[in-house]
Amino acid sequence: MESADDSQKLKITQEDFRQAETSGYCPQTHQINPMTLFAYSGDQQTDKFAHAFSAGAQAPTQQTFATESLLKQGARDQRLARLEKSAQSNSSDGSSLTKEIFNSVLPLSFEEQLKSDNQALPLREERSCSNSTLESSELNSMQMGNFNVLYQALSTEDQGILCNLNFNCFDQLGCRMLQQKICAGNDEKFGVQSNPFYNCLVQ
Amino acid sequence: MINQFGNYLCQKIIEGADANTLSIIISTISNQLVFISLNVHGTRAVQTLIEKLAHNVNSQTAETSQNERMLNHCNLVSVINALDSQIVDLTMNMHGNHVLQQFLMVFNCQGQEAPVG
Repeated sequence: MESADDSQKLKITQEDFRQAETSGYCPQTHQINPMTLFAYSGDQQTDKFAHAFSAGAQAPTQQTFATESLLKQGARDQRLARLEKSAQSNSSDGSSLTKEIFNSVLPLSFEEQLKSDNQALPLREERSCSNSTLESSELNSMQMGNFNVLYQALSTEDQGILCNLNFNCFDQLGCRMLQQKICAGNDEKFGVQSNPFYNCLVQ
Repeated sequence: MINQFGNYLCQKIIEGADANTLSIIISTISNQLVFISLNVHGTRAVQTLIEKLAHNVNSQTAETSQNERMLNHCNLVSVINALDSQIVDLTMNMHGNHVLQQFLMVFNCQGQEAPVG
C-alpha cells in the first residue's frame, strides 16, 4: 500500500514540478514568486516541493532541447539544486528558501550573469530618464514662473479670457475674440512678440 | 487645428510665433500632422505653418543667429519627416494635396533642396 502511494507520489511529482514551474517559478526570469513559496507550508508540502525540484533536475536527461533551452535548463537546475538543499536543511518554515531568493551575495551562473548584465540597461535608461525629468521639471518651473509674471501683468478681463480658454478655443465668438486680442496688442515695431496676451497664451 | 473655428486661432498663433514657439507646436502635432492635413479645416492651418516655416528659412540674413538658423531648419525637417510616411495619401486626398502644393509654391529652387537633403 505504501509502495503504491510512493509510486503515485512519484507520478504526482512530475505534475507538481510543472505546477511549481508555471506558478511559482518563472523560467524566463529565473526567479521564484515568493508568494507562491509561502503557500507551501508544512512538511508534506515541502517534501512535494523538494520532489518536484529533484524531478526537474532529471528532466533534461530525458528530453532533447535546443542549445539555448539546454543552457536555460542547466542554469535553472543549478538554482533548483541549491533551493532543494536549502529546503532540505530547513523544511519547516521555508525561511532558508526566502534567504536563497533574496540573497544577492550568492554566486551567479553564466546565464544569470548575462541576465543581470542585460537588466543593467533599463536601469541606465531609467537613470537618464530621471535626469531628463529633472531638466524638464526645471524648465517647467521656469516656464511657470514666466507665465505667472506675464499673467499678473494682464488685465482682469484678459485673465478671465485665459481662464476660459478651453471653451473659447472651440467657440466661434471666443475664437474671434482671441484673435482680436492677439491683433490688438501688437506693436508695430516688434509685432506680436511684444503682445503680453499672446505671450501668455502661447506659454 | 481641425476645429472649424479654432483653426483660425491656430493660424493666428502660428503667424506670430517665433522659432522656439514653432518648434513646440511642431513637436506637439508631429504625430498627427497627416491626420490634420487630411482634414478640411486642418489643412489650412498646416498650410499656414508651412508658409511660416518657409518665410523663416527664406528670410534668414547674416544677422540671424546660428541657433535660430538651426531651429528653423529642424522645424522644417520635422514637418517633412512627419508628412513623408504618408505622402501618397496626402497626394490623393482632396485636402491633403493642398499641403504638398503649398510646399511647391512657397519654396523656390534653392529652398527645395532643403527637404531633399
